Amino acid sequence: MSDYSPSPTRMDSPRASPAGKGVHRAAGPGAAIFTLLVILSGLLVGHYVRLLPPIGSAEAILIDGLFQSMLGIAAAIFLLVLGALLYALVRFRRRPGHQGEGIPIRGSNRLELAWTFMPALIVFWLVAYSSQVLFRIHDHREDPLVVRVTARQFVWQFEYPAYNISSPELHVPAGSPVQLELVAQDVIHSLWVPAFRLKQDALPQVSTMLSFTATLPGEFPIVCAELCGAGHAVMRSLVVVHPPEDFSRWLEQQG
Amino acid sequence: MATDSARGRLIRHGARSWRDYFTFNTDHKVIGVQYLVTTFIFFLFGGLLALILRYELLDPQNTLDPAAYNAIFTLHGSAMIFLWVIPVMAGFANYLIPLMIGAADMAFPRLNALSFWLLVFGGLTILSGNFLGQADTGWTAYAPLSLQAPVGQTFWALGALFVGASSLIGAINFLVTIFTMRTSGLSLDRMPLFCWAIIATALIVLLATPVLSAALLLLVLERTLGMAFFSVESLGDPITWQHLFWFYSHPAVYIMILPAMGIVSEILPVFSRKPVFGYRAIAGSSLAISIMGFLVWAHHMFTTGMTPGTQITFMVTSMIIAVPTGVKVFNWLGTLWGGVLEFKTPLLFAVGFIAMFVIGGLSGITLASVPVDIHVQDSYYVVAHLHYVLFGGSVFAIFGGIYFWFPKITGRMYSERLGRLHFWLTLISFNLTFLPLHWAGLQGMPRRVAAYAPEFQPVNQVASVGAFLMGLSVLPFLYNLIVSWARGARAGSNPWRALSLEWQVASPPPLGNFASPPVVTHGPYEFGQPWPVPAGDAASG
Repeated sequence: MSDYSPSPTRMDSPRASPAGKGVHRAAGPGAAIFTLLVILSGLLVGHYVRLLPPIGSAEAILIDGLFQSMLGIAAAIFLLVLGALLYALVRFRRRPGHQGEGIPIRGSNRLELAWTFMPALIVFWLVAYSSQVLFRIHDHREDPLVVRVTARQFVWQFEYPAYNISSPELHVPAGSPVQLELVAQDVIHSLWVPAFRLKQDALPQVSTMLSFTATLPGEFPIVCAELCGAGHAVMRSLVVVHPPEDFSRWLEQQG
Repeated sequence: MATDSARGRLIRHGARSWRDYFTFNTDHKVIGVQYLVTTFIFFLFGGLLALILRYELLDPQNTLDPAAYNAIFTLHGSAMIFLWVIPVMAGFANYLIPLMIGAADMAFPRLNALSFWLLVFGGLTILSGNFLGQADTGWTAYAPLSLQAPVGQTFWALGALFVGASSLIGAINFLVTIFTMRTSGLSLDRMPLFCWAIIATALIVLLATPVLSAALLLLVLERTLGMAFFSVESLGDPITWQHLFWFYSHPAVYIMILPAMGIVSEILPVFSRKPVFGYRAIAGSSLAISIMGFLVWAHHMFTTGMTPGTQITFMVTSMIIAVPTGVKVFNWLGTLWGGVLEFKTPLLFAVGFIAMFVIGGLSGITLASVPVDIHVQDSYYVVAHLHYVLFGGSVFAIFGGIYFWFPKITGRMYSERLGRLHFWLTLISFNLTFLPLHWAGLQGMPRRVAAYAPEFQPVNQVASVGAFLMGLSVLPFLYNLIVSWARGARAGSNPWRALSLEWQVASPPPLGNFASPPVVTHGPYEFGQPWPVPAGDAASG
């Protein structure tokens, strides 16, 4: 691809389009200020715009950190593209009476390289950051409280094999690791605790695992995230996160 | 050809009256119009279903029967994907490709007619199943739920099989036509970028559709003959369905977006009066997306219990797709930059496409990140994302393409005033509907639910109001097209002063397209160049 395809006759022609001048002027201080504003907005959005619910687990802290970074980067890229787009739409609009053509630029290898490698760099950084968070989520602490979760159309059931307890709600202590072993009795279901930012499918006759450490005492919704039939929408439950001492009291009450 | 022969009553070539549009017609332009009109009817149908869904979601409690609600969103998704966005692109390709490459017709005209009528047959099969027992498992039809579903699910699978066959036949036809029937002088790098987009799309269809067909066939066999492929009780595996389904259905999102990107790449240079910026980069990125799109399917399955190694592999491949996608967006900006922009309706929709598609692309990157996806998978965040790429992306481009080629297809101009009204109504109502839904998903609202927690009511009411407005926004479009088709001002052959071949013949083009095969001496976007640009032979707008 040729960098520029300048046609001498055309360049010399007295087209005098205001658009033509704008192209060369664009890379001036205006562009620098715009870039700074975009980066600043990205930082502000990543830091202050909270779209996620309160943090209820140790895993949620990591995932939210990742999400906020991505939100900030996404906001910056969106503003960059939208800003350039709106600027172009205003600056290069056809003025009344102007019948000319645009400037015959066919491309630029340098720009192609730049906008291939810059996004690639961001992507690789995001992959590295996401992988790190993923490994830390999977990095389970020892001696968890094991809860067997059975999903069937359209109820959740939670069993505590160590205590011979069964409950329609999930009760866990704050601050200690919990491991759920999920299985479905009919179709695929998916256990989602938005407050924990965690979700795990429950598959028919195959056991799947989900580990977490709840941090915030309180009651949080559990919903089914995989379409499982007519009652899918109401296949809900609660996770009750107890302060540690209350949890042993709950266990005693059940036994 | 066969028009007046013995089988002329069944097989027609070209349209002399409106009745010919209802025949097994072998003319690519008739087939193109058949596709465009038929798929648009499916779009209106799918849109009406969406309004029922949004009506239900005004209230956090069930108002409709929940099984009926499930059936309606199943039909909404299936109609929009299988019967609108995928085949409408075949409509554009059918009408435009022979014209763009200087050919008289497609390579296999009768196969072409077969592919259209298979689409109709498949669509009616999917719909008719609803009278016998509704498919209610979503357009994804996950096993084993789809094994429990009533008999409509079998009709759904058979219908999708026919539609897949239609798509496959069309893809072979497009590839053979583009590679063997280009007129003299039309080297590959002088082809309009829409043709490159169709090559990339047809390659995906060719390699991915058979996999879905196999999966659908297994589903039908398991449902009707009791064979065991996906049910655990008989040593089947429900996850196999997901792998087979997404091996097609993720590449399918590129089947839905690449032609849209091709349309946008046609519109931008014409209304910027500039050569397209980075022709090879845009064409090459289409091929890159088409190839890389095959390596990402399991990112739909991050919560099934995959190992972290598998998750990371699919995260890497998924995120890399952002690179060629970004290349396209930046080249489109480069095309606008320094142009002399004429804000006709096609350009408005093309620009709207860029802005909306960037939002959908960015939320797509967050979804590719495994830890974030684990939280938002199967939530309204995904619903918002997919509508930004499929409606804000594909459908905006489709609207732009319809306005752009309307003068060519009908020979008449549409009303710019109504076109602008349609654009702004669509842009505002679309964002009102789907922007807030990102938040609902992040906060914990799952998708595919008729009832939801009361704290999500305000955001759902905003989305529903947006959706009803979106429903209204189609009215000026329909009115504009119908009235303009009947009594619009004559468009002449080239109202946009465009350079690609379809604009160098009369509007509508005669049967056989070109009196003699055209000879091409330059690329399709040589605007701003010393050679004379054909003057528009009618006042546009």
